Amino acid sequence: MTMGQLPVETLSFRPEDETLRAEIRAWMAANDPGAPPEDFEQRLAALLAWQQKLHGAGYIGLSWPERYGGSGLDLRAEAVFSEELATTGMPELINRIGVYMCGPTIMDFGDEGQAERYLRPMLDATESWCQGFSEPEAGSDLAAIRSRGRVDGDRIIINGQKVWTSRAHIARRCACLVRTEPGSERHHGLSLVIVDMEDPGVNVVALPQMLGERHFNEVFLDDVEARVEDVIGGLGNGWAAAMRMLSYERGLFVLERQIRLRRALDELADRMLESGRASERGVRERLGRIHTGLELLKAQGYRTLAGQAADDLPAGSTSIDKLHLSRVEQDLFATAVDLLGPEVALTYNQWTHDLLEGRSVSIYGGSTEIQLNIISKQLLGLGASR
Amino acid sequence: MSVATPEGIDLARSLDESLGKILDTEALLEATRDDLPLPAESTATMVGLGLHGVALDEGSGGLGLPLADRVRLAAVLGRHLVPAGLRDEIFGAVPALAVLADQDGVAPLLDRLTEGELRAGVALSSRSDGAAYTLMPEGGELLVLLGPDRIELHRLEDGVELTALNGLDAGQGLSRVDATGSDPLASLAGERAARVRREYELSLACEAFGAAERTLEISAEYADQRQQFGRPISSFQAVAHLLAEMKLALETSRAGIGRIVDLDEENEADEAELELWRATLAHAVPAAARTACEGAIQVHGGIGFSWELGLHLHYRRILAVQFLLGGDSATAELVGANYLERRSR
Ligand SMILES: Cc1cc2nc3c(=O)[nH]c(=O)nc-3n(C[C@H](O)[C@H](O)[C@H](O)COP(=O)(O)OP(=O)(O)OC[C@H]3O[C@@H](n4cnc5c(N)ncnc54)[C@H](O)[C@@H]3O)c2cc1C
Repeated sequence: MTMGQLPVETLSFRPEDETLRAEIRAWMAANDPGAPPEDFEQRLAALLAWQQKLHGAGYIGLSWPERYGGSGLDLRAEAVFSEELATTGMPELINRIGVYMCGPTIMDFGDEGQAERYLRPMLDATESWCQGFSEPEAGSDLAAIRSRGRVDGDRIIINGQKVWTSRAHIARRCACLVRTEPGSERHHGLSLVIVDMEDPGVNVVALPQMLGERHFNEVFLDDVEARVEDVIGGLGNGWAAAMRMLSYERGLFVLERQIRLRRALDELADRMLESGRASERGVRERLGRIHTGLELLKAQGYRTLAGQAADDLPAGSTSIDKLHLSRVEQDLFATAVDLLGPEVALTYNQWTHDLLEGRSVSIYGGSTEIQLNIISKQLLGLGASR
Repeated sequence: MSVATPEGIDLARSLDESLGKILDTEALLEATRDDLPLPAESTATMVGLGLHGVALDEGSGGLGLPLADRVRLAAVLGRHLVPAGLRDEIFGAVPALAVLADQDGVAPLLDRLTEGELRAGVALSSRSDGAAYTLMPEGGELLVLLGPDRIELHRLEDGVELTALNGLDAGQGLSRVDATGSDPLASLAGERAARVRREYELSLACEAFGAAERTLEISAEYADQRQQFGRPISSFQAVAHLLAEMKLALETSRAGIGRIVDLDEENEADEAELELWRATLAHAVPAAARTACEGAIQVHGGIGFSWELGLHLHYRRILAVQFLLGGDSATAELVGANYLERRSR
């Protein structure tokens, strides 16, 4: 048995990255939009305008090739942008599913035509994206997909149902996983098809989440017409493409989230400093634990980006990022509400909102239990000899 | 930005091999049972491996290996449960004497120490109450006392009081240190001294990591082999998830160690940021190592609790590292205090 790699590479920033950082920081300071409106609908509109403004400044798709509307820089630039974005009141992109997940998957698996058609509108958010994987009978067991796509010449006619589809109601496109090979089973015969959400056969029904917000939806697909040329990675290769997309969901996505959590911890620390509680042993210890968790999350995120940049990510490794994120996020808000006391805990506010929202992290993008399965099989190789 | 050197990688590989031959479980168990050092020949062989120059720059006659190599070597030492006293000389005493070398009489001592002719113990004085413990090698003559930002070098015969304790990580010469009655032979305060302490602490954390990673490997292999209910225990999800939790703990630690190596090389990071990072790792890595090792014992069932398998050797070492560094809650508190202090600026 040989020991694992030590030290592993993480992302290191060069002088030109720091120059970019200074530039973005100055821009953010001058253009900070402040906190988003409370009202959910207004919030979406504000987020849309915000991404468009960021795009106008040239900051969306920093790592994308110039021919697709990006800046041709690397993932370091992307990390710098995320970190600086986090200093503003709206640290989130409305089309993060497109920019961080669907776009990169198209660049990896799609063809030039798809890249031409779909990448640019992701960046300026004229076309928002959603991810149509989960179905009523296919959650953790994603290979149990039942939605069907009947190939008819150059068209695909899709029938079925998706569920928990985040932001489907504001999305123009959906990366939809369907079974295109009749009689196929499990991971075989699936295709990742780009569906136009304006197709008359698409019916999006709100499914309020636990805070009453319209985060996700049910999506009914009745004779929806898509095109064979819009299959990412070609017919029958849907599983590999979908897995790649999920690994992106557990990569840069996680790094971005970590930055929001850092903001929350800083705010909590400031509250403790203001109220004079920062000198209490217990307070220091608990903040120390969360700080530690967040720093390791960042280190792991940087490690993942370095691996992605070198095209050298071990299968299943991003489950570490996802799992650690869910632990830290849930700990952070539980600790915050506990330290801030009943006045905060009993009322509805950003802290209690985030405490509740935190329950989703260990479910979306593959539940905790599924991540543990992946780690034990793919990273530890358990059962490989059986 | 991987700056591990070919020399360092080779050294780690050959060290891994030779230590595997010198340190078998039986010898380690015996030393632990009798609370005695390993036989003189094996100690001499290990001292003769030439590791004392690892953390010493070339100007002072060392190998000048960068941090990237040093963290790996520390993990290799942990993997094989190398005597703590030897680890302390390599990563604590030698670097300390190197920064004191321009003071009267120290340079010849450093030469003798790196040649293996002289032995020294290291003690970290507690940040809260100043208590200090050392793992004094047999025949040790010197004590390096590492305060938060002060190094003192003492000769044991000059009035250092050592009270031998019954060590949990037995056979390592654990003693409580009282150096108040001794005049240091040499001393240094300030940033350079603080850095020696922090790098020493990081090497302890990496040692614990190496020990824990080994227990995970052993456990994953065992879980695929051990059959119960007619199938390998790794096919039970509860067991597979326990192993995955161990992996999670170690991989986030691995990322953290990688991060500090990169930060250290960037030269851009300010010293205060590095300081907070080291404190963070001194808290996180031993805790992760402990989680992994406790999981390893559980995965093995009865034999995990047995004397003969020896997982307790790793457990003893990891616990020792965690508490030499201050313990779980004290290290967390230090991180929190440091973070809050930065935040209030
Ligand atoms: C906020 C949010 C946003 C989401 N957004 C999207 C989206 O945009 N697009 C999309 O396609 N999906 C989305 N999802 C769906 C998400 O991917 C699924 O909810 C998730 O994969 C779990 O599937 P499920 O809900 O069917 O639960 P189930 O699979 O039924 O799981 C129920 C419980 O059983 C456990 N379990 C299941 N199988 C195993 C097993 N083999 N071993 C151990 N335990 C197991 C699970 O861990 C869980 O605790 C979203 C979910 C949430 C919460």
